[in-house]
Parts: sequence; C-alpha cells; structure tokens
Amino acid sequence: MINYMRAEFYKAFHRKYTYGFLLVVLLCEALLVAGWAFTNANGNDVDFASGAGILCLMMGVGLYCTLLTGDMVFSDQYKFNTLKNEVSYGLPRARIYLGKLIVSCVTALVLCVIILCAYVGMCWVVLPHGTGVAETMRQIGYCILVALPVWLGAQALVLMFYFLLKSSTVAAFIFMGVIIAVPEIIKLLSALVNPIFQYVYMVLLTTPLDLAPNNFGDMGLLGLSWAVGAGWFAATTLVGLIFFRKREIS
Amino acid sequence: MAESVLVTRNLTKKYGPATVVNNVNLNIEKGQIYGLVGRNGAGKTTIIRMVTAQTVPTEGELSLFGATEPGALGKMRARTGAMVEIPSFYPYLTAKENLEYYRIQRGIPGKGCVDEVLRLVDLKKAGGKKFKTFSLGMKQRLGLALALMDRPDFLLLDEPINGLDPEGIVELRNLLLDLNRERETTILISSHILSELENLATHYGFIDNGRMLEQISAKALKEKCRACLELAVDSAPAAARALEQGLGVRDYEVLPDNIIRLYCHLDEPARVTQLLVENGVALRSIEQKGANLEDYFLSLIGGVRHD
Repeated sequence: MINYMRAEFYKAFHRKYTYGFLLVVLLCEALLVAGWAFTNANGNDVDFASGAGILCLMMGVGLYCTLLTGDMVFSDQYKFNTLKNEVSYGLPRARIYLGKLIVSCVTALVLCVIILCAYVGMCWVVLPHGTGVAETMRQIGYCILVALPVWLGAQALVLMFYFLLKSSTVAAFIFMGVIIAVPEIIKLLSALVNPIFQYVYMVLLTTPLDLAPNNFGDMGLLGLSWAVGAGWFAATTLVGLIFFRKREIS
Repeated sequence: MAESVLVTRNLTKKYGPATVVNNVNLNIEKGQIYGLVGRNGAGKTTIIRMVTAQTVPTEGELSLFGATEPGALGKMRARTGAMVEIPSFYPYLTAKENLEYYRIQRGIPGKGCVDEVLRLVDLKKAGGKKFKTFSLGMKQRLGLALALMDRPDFLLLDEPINGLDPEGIVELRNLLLDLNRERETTILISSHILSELENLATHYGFIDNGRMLEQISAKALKEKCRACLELAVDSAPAAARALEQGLGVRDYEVLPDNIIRLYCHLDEPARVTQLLVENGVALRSIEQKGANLEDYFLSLIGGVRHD
C-alpha cells in the first residue's frame, strides 16, 4: 500500500495540472485581496477580520475543489486505459481504490493548507489589523473543523463516481447534482411533502457548511459535521469498493 | 515433469448471450513460447484479459504457477509481465516518468531498471519525450518495457507486432528468443500474423469462435505439415508393398481410407505412379501436399470465411 501511495503522489506532483490549479487559486486570492486593498485606498474600510472572515462563507467551495483533487489522482484512468497496467500486475483492487482515495485526501489537505494559509497570510500582510483578529481566527478555525470531515466525505463521493463511471465528465456532473440540486430538492420536499425530509437534509454534505457561519462554537454542529462526513466517507467507499471489485477493465 | 505456468480448466467468458470464450483448457509449461492463434474476435485477447485479471471469468478455473485462490493468484501475477492490446500510459508524463511511476508502484528496487528496459526496447533516447507524442510502434516498445521491467517469469503479449516496423519486428523476435533462452521466460503470445509466430513458438493453441480447436507442439505441427505425396489407392497394403520393394521406401505412413503419405521421392510423382500401375495398384489420385502454419490453421477452421 505504501508503494502504491508513493507512486500516486509521484504522479500527482509530476503534473502541471496540480501546480496550475494551485496557481490559479492563489492568483484569484491575490486578486481578491488586491481588490480590497484598492477599495481601502479609495476610502473603504476592509480590515483583516472582514477580509479573512469571508473564508467562513466560502467553505462550500472546498466541496467543488474535491472534483479537481480527485481528478488529479484518478487521472482519467478509464480514458487512458491505465488501470489495466495495475490489475494485470496483481495489485488487489481494494488497494488500488483505497490507495487513490487516501492519496486524493492527503493531496486535497496539502493544497487546502497552502490555499488557506496563503489567503490568511495575504490578508494579514495587506489589510489593516483592527479589533477582533483573535476572534476571526477562532471563527475560521471552527469553520475549518466543521468543513474538514465534510470535504473528506465529498472526496470519497467523488472518487466513487470516478471509479464507477466510465466518463470523468459524467462523474463530475453527477457529483455537482448531488451537491447543488439534491439539497434544494430535499428542502422543497420537506416544505411541500413531509417535514420528515428535514432529517434527510441534516445528513447532506452541504448542511454543516450552510449552518457553520451562523453557529460559531456550536459543538453539536461540529459533532454533526464529523458524523455526516464519516458516514458519507464510509458509505461511498464501501459502495465503490463493492462495485469496483468486479468491474471490467477494458 | 516441467512446472505448469498457466493452466485453465473450462475457462468461459460470456457477455450477455454471447459466449466469447467457451470451455477453454490451456496448459502452458515453463520455458514454452506458446503461440495463441486465431482470427480477430476469436477470443485470444479475452483469454489474456482473464489471466491478467482485467475481466472475471464467467465459469471455469485458472491456475498461475499453481495458485488458484484469488489472493495467491494476485501474488503470482506479480511474476508476470503483460502487454494487452494497445499499451496505455499517462499521456502527460514522459516515457521515463511513466515507467518510474510503475516502478515505485510495484516496489521494484533501484532506479536503474527503468533505464535498462528503455535501452532494451531501444527507447533510451525517447525516454524524456511525453507519451502523447509517441508513434504506435514506440508505444508498443514502451508497453514491452513495462512488461519486462520486473524481470517476469511469464510474459503475456497480445498482438505485440502491431505497429512495429520490419526492423522492430526482428528486434522483438530476437529479444523474446533471448529472454526465453537466457532467463527461461515463459511466453504467451497471441497474433494473427502467423508467419511471425512460426519463427518463435514452441507450442501452439488454435482458437476459433471462443473454442480451443487444438494444442500442439511446434515439432508435432512441423511433422503434420511436412511436405509429402498423398496417394489415394484401391489397396494401401499392396501399394505399400510396391513402394517398399520398387523404390526401397521406408518413410511413409498409411492413413485410413487407403491413403498413403510418402515423404520421399517428392519430385518423382511420375515414377511413383508408374510403379504402382505396374504392380496392379489402382491409383485414384496423387497430390503434392505440405502446409505452413497458415494453411494448417485454415484447414482447422474449415477454410477462409467471409463472414
């Protein structure tokens, strides 16, 4: 398993894609911070607390980024037919599946740390430090703690779709559907059909991220996010493993 | 008795109602170069794909180096090298990076093996080029490099000659013969270019419509395909007596239906005919026979089909 993971890291970090993605995100962050600095120069008053605090509202973006971090590792294996090189050498399919899942999670975490630290660092350097810096950092920390398990759950969901569907594009579309459309449908069902759907809404990946900005420090929400993340992670990995076990590699 | 490398028992693969491989029994022993002969769609690739775990057999058993259980089979697959259909690699990595990726993944110690196999398949200079820029022939060579990287005991090659230029074909043939001779590598090679197999194989399996028609050693096949005069007579014993006494012939065989195969005096059919007539043997027909691999295969499947 260690060799398998080392190879996946080798591949992921030998791609321009990985560095391109990171560069684009960092550029976007730099533009955002530069924009605030520009407005501050024109009389506005965006300080570190407001600038960095916006991260709490943007945790949902991390869900979509799992599509890219999953793709960095899975690398269109069905399109390039490269899985045959792995299974023909006798590598167990569970090792292939779990190896890619772990590496995509670790890659996502590494990129996440770089992206978040870079943003907070840029805000720290560029924006004025008013009051509430410590409180902002606490809020960001709390939101990250809530988001982390949900992101990992989403990463497992993405990998399941990549492994089970022949086309990565179709997998991406279905994942977007699960993240964007399903919560809205469940909301409608709970309002129009039966309030019991509210319970279903509570276990969706997006719910803890929606609730976090208005419930800083709520340990119940933190517990819910870890339970939801772990549940999605375990369930999608199990389903993925079962179906990948006998999948035709052509 | 030689060690069995690959044994299949009633190996069957069905896709819906279509049976692509039908009760195939294979036995490949250590040191053999086994040529799997069949037309396109005969089931050759599917057999190799089942052996290499790319697809799961619908029925039947498969044993690799004596292992039959899934876990043990997986371990034995690490002793194999395979090139199935068109070699596939990551297009955005160079040839060297691709091989390095698989070297790490397979836990092969020492980076030197990557350069060694690239040199072996004559891709040393192209090692720094991205896979997406490779021609089909270069892809084939890289696929072969991957198959050879862990010094396999058993090499499975599916149509490896496709895309190679004449020089490449000769190099591949020599490489495979060297591996077989020097490392005792057992090789399963599928091809529909039969003339190439004739230069390599020590054993053949003829497959058609998913069924194994015949397995035969190259020696036995050569014997079967030996050039001869085939005589159809009214009395085989009388003809045999005449041939022995008149021409001193010993190298012949008597087949059912009063048919005699004469393996000498091939350029003297008139003399043979005259001798038989003089000895009162009625000759129904006389025909010069002898087949190459292609003729033999076509005779097995009942001639050229146009379906």
